[in-house]
Amino acid sequence: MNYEIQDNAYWEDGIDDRSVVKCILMHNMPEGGRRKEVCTFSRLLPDRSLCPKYKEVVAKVGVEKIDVNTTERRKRKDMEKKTANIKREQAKKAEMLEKLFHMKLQAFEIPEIANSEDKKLRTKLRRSQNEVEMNAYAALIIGKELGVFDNDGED
Amino acid sequence: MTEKTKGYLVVASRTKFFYYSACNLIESIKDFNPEAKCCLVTEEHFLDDRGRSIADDIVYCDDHKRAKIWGMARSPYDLTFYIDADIECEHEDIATIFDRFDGNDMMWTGLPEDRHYCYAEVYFPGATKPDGSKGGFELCGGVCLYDMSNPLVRQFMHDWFDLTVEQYAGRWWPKKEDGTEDLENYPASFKRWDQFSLWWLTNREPKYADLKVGILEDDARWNFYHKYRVDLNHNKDAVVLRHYSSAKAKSEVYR
Repeated sequence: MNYEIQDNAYWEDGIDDRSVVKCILMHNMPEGGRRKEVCTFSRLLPDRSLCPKYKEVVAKVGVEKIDVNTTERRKRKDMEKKTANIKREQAKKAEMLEKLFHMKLQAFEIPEIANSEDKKLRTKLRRSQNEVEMNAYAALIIGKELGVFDNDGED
Repeated sequence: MTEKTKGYLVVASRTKFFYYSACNLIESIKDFNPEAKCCLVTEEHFLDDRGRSIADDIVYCDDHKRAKIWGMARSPYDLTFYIDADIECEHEDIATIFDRFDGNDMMWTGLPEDRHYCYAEVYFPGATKPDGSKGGFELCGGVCLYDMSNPLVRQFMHDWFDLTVEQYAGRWWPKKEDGTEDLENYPASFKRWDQFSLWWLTNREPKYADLKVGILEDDARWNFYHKYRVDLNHNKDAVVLRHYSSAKAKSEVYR
């Protein structure tokens, strides 16, 4: 045998009958150095005979150790997935906040908003939590400055 | 003895983005602290009616990349809270900042390890601690509370600007014993970064050995980068200042 079986073998994801094992073989190269090979072995070969490699890995690492590795790996993967989801959500939120910030700056470039003396509405616009709210306050300020609401109830 | 004057300082130079951001920042501070005195340091050609109406003091600067530090050194207030222009105020505690010196001359926000994911480079060999542990930048320059009535602080601000100008112009860099630039301990990638001149003055300049430099308590809330991960709970209390630092936006949105 010109390779070593690493002891971090685990049962393949989604299969709970210990029928497929995944492991790393470290080959000792003739010219020196080592080569890593990730392998997947099914218990049964197509002719229904026991796969000798599967047997070798299970014998070397042991069912109990492979069970422990599998549990630990699944926990780790779950955690990584959750963390990745959180990071993705946060990145999305950060992007949204940044976009909103820039939109607010642009809104304050509109002369009717920039020159409005309605402090209350300007503050509301600045504190808007999303685009819809921001657009609504921007429209209110512009409408007020243009006198759109002056004839309310008279028509 | 007259009471020390207090005020906020915002610098907006080089691009309209910073000018509009600065106006937004000042208005947001006044939303929560209507009595606040705010100084706007900006290039004369940017100034419009909006800026004139919201700023209590206006100082004209040029378009030097580090006009920020030039402006900081020229604050008209004794107790000054400098805030980067691309920040927005969102909490009434902004009015309490001048009570937060905690016995120091100068207060910053920090760069602890759990926030390093937001920063490109922090550690460098020249900052290695006496016990051999790695060291690097510890102060974040986004906000700074300082006492301009203290001559040492005033001198520090002027020296920081002067050293940064020399650094950016390629006329100053720490030297090795043979007189050549020490790029092994102080990477060349820091040459266009005022964080480095700040680090140098606060850590290697004997003149400022007695300067009391501190980090604000619950500092993240005083300079909360919008890319900070909320789940990591960097801040204990509500965010006061949110920092929208995005190089892409600065260069692309407003020129």
